[in-house]
Amino acid sequence: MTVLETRGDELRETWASPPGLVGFVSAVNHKSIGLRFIVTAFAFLLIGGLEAMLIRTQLIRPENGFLDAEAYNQLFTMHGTTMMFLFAVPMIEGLAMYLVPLMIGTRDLPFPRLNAFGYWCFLLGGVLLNWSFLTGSVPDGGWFAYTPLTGPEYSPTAGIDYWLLGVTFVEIAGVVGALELAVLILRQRAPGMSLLRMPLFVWSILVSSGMMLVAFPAVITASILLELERKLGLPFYDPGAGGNPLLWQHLFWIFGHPEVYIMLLPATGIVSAVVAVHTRRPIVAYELVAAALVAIGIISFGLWVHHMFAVGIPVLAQTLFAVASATIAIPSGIQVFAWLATMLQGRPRWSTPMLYVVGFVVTFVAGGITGVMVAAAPFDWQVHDSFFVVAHFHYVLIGGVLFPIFAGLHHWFPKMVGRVPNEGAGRLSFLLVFVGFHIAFFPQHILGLRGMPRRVYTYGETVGWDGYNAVSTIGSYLLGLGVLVYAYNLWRAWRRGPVAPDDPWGGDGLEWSTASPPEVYNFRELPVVGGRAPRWEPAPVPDNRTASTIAALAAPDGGGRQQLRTTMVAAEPDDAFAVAGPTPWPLGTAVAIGITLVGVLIDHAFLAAVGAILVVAAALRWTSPPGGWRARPETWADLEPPRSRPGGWHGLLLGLVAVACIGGSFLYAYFYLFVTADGWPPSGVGSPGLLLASAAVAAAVAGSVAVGVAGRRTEARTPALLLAGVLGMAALAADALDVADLRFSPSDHAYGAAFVTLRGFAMVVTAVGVLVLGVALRACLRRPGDPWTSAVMQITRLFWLFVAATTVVVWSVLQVTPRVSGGDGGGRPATGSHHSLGIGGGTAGELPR
Amino acid sequence: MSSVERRPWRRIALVGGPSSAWAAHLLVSYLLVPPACETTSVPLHVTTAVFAVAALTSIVVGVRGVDGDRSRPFAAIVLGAIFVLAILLQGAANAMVDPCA
Repeated sequence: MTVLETRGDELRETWASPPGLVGFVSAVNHKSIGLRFIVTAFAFLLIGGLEAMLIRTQLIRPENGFLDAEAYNQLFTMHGTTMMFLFAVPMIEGLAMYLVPLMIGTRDLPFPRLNAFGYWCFLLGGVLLNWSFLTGSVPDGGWFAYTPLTGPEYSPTAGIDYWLLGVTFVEIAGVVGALELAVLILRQRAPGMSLLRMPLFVWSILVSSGMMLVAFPAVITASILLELERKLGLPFYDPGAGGNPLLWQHLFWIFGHPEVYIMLLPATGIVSAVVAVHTRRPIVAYELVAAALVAIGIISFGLWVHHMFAVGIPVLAQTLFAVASATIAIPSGIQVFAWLATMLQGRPRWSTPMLYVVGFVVTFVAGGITGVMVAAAPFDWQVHDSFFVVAHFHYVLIGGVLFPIFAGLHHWFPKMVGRVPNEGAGRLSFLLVFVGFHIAFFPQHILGLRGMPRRVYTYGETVGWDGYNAVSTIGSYLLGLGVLVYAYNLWRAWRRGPVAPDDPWGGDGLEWSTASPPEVYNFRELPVVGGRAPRWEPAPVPDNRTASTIAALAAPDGGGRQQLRTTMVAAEPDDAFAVAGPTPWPLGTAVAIGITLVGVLIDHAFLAAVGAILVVAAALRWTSPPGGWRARPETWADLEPPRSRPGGWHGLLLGLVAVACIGGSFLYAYFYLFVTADGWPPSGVGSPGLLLASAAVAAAVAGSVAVGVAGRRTEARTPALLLAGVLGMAALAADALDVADLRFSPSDHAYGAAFVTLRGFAMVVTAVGVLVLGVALRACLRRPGDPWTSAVMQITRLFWLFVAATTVVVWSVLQVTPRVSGGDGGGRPATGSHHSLGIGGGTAGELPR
Repeated sequence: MSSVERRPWRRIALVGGPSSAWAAHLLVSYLLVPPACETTSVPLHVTTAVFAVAALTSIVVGVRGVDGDRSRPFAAIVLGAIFVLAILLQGAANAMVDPCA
């Protein structure tokens, strides 16, 4: 046996999962989890597609009785929800989790257990959503769940609760996946792979991950507020008690519009990868395409109001968002022209992936053009909530997302599975999908222009919509057949397809330099990159530092699952670190969250409380370091010490960005209601008490200072952490006493609801801070001087800075706003309705405070 | 450590400045529409001028800080130009559309 073979065996042993069922539930490897995401998301695609078939069958002829109105409402709600939340984003994340570590030349994700936790959350959330079919309480409020339709008055059954809790569960998976991928891309690229040498797919995942961290919290917040209204009667969306139903639309679309690009950008990344390989030349204008991805990601956050053109916003305000909506066509156009130029300059190989890419370009451009049309407010007023909009977004989402996903799955299938799909079946599937799609959705433009509204379960015989609907339904059957052919082709290849070579397409990226399927450790020796197409360029000669680092990583030497961390921009070697191995606790934590949600769903407070306790217990068990964990083996002593913070610190920082966005969304809701409600606080409600609230803030800030001392002075760590814990608990006690003594009920007026929610958010952050202190204390007592403890201390300091900032901001807002708005018993004077900026009904264009 | 990682703020200015200026311009303009209807549109136009200048300034500062390979700033300049264009187009909307409509 050669030295390389011996090292390969060592690496395989180090990175392998246990066999059998235990291995299945405890697997954390990026390829296992990525494949699970892909397979599960594909299963949800089939479920969502079946729902679409049923919808189209109902509409095939006028006055059809195939479905009643209730079943139709449930099906279009679950179809949209399934495709958006359970198929598109998880499929993209699954592809990214599988491929990005291979593309950037690393062995695994930075937080493999978090990755596994994300998958279980996704699976359980999807099961919870679809479980509603078995209970008979199926969500029926549309995939965007507008209030007041989804409020307790108009949706009294548990269907909407399934939607809110299931979607929140799934979005948790999205956030942790995004965090994971962002840290991976920024800190684990192969030496030499600077930002401007990253594959465009990786660029698209980086931008998309950043967007998820900022966008998903908005819908999580909106869902929490609606669930609080439905379960506890907190009137955030009830205009009769100071709430506002348009708050839901703002929060939902602040998430919802970026969500489109969260799906679309990685899809364009797939297109860039496929075009380069199958035209056998690098993408033209690489840097402009990368810049376009960033531009689209940013601009997409400035478009949410264009979904609300019909709610009464002033024309000028609508125009501002219309301009932003049209502007996004510029970077989108840059990408399209870059792909076309690459195809023109290259030697295209018209394989199945390339056919899907061409189908994508045609369909996406058509959908983009109708997008520019509906971005013009006067046109949008005409076609709003009509089938024209249905046609537009299916052109964008099927043409823009599903086609590239099919291209990518076929393209990377040989790498992932080690088998080659049949090319003829692939082309047949493309033909059926492409033709079926356009037959299904092009007539819907005409239906919309002829006035057919969306979300109506049937139509009359005399309105002239029957022919177009019949054609559309036949097209949808063809599309469905094409999807089945596609799925069967992959399944057949997986079972008995020809064995794939390592690089069946002559690819340019690092993923093609691994075995098919890759070894569990990906690369025996980590690669060094000298350009944007490492497989098409000569390998560079690494410098001494890089060479010695790579050599050290090639031999595990009992140091556990060692990975290389590189610098953020230039990807210079910085440090090695060990990642945690297999464990079932991510599954345990996800199940505990599921128990909590089910307790909430069935109004069983005890079950919810037990679930919450189990969440804490499972998470603590999960975060303890496994036996034998070492950050740097002794054989690495000659390497330079790390120059930057541990990866966990960056992970927490991004996690806190997401939590801060949840807090920011609570603040947005507070100020939105503050502006729109008549009287804030309402008449008869005094300003909140100052003493206990201030004491709580002071204790939290002092706790943060104590944690800072613990971080700087090793000898004082234990007492300082104990002091911080006492201060944290004192802050919680003061908060609890203050909230218990409130002179108003949170269910009487939106002021009380928003007050208690913001305060509760700060308390939850503080409580988690106390738990983090417990983890830090345990590390200090059990492993003093260990790099693990040092990393935990850095993370604890960062978290407690966040605790202090949160409590100060919440205190400031809750104490200042009632006083500046004329609180202190009288409440803010009633000002009439606030028509301006789409924040309420009425007539006056009054300036919000 | 590379020069880029020693002086990251110029990169951040180049990439983040124009986009931040555009986002701020959009939100501030949105909030200024009601008062523009009640009083005057001048603050809207001033807002456009301020944020357009801010975006251009961050491009200039960022480009000056990036040495070496000239092709690298080019993409960032195009990125910044898209945001400057968006600010100017939204400014044109401010000038042409009645804030009371």
